[in-house]
Amino acid sequence: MRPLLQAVAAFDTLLSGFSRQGHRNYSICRQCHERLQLRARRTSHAPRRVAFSSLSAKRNNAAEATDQLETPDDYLPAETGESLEWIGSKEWLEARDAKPIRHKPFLPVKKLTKPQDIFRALHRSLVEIYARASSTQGSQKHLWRDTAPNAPDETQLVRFKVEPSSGKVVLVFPDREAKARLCDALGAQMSGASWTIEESSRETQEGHWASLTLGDVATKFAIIKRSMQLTGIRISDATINSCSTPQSLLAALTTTPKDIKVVDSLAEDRRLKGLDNVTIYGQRLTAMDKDQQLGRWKVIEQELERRGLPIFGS
Amino acid sequence: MPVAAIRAVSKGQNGVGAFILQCKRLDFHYCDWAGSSKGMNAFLKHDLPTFARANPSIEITVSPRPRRHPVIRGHYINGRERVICVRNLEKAQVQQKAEILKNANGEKVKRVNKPVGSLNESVRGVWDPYRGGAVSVRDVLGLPKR
Repeated sequence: MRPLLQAVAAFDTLLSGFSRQGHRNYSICRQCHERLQLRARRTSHAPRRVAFSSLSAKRNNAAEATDQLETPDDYLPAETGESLEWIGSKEWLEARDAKPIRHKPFLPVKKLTKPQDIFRALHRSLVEIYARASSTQGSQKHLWRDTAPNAPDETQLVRFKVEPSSGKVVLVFPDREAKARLCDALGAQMSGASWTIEESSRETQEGHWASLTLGDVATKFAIIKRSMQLTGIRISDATINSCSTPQSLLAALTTTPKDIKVVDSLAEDRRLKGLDNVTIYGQRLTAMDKDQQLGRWKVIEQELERRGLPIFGS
Repeated sequence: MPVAAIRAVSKGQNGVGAFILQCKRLDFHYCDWAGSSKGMNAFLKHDLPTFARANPSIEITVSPRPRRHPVIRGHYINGRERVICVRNLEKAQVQQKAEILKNANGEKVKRVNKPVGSLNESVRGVWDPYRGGAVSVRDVLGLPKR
């Protein structure tokens, strides 16, 4: 319950009048009596043993904690109102508007629509994330966060190889220059243990990169975040759970969600379940449907049969 | 002796004693694909349950009409129909049109010239204090004139 400040102040004034009397000849209620006792204790510097509620106790603790805070060295207490910081003035508004807030969304506004572009973006995200994950430097926590906005196109030449012994994914570069350019763009250390350089003419034996297994949860999460960042396509949590390979992730990115029909949304609406006056049809109502509703169709059908005419047109 | 029919003492009027809503059925037709049905589809998804619950005496049917503009068709107990096209209208505007059809009586739209209408118009017209002879209290009470 919110306290009424004016009422409390008036109550205190009233009680101060009582307390000045020095004796209790007035019949007051229990709450007023307790408040009077509390006030007497405060004035006599008695230790406070009575708390109104747990909320007031929390406030007291907060006030004590505030007292314990150290005052900064450059703190200068205001002597007049003009030396206080003013908020909401014209100058304050101008200073605030001088620095416009630039919001950069996590996902780009424009989505990729062509399957080839989505394919390339997913490959690039794999290269970037595995490169960062295998580098000795850099934070392993946010692999997707500080990637280069404009990575070189050489990422498309990078291939993947899985070590049979450890099952670790190894990046295979066509040459040293491509590796150096990618390292510069990503800011990763070049002496990574799992960075291999091979000739571009050689084919990998392990198959296509899309069939890699996204086993590590942190790497999988980073790949999905980065691919969403590059494509602008948002993937639902349920789909993320079901994606175990880049191939399934690619399918999730390239599959356009099916439009929900009005009939389906109305069929799921619980508010319409108990209404007897509402009828929902999934298909267009034809003239024959209207005749059936009126009970006229069977008469028409009998007459058509009697005359040897086709019932449903030609 | 011929049987005489009971003469009607009063003529029934809707709203005098009982009110029967003239609209008996509303058909909502929409299109899933066309953009002109956007407001209509939003109305069906969000506001139709409330509208149907508020009007239990009206039969409501919802059916698609592919590749056509959305319409609301009202059926009335006098056998007539009224149709309003709600293409490109917002959800609230569609609601307004549905209310119009609900409150209509199904008659053709007539020009209203008088503030008060009567089923039995008097040839003498409505009494007017500024026309005709002056009326005195003595005349009304049958007292002799001074």
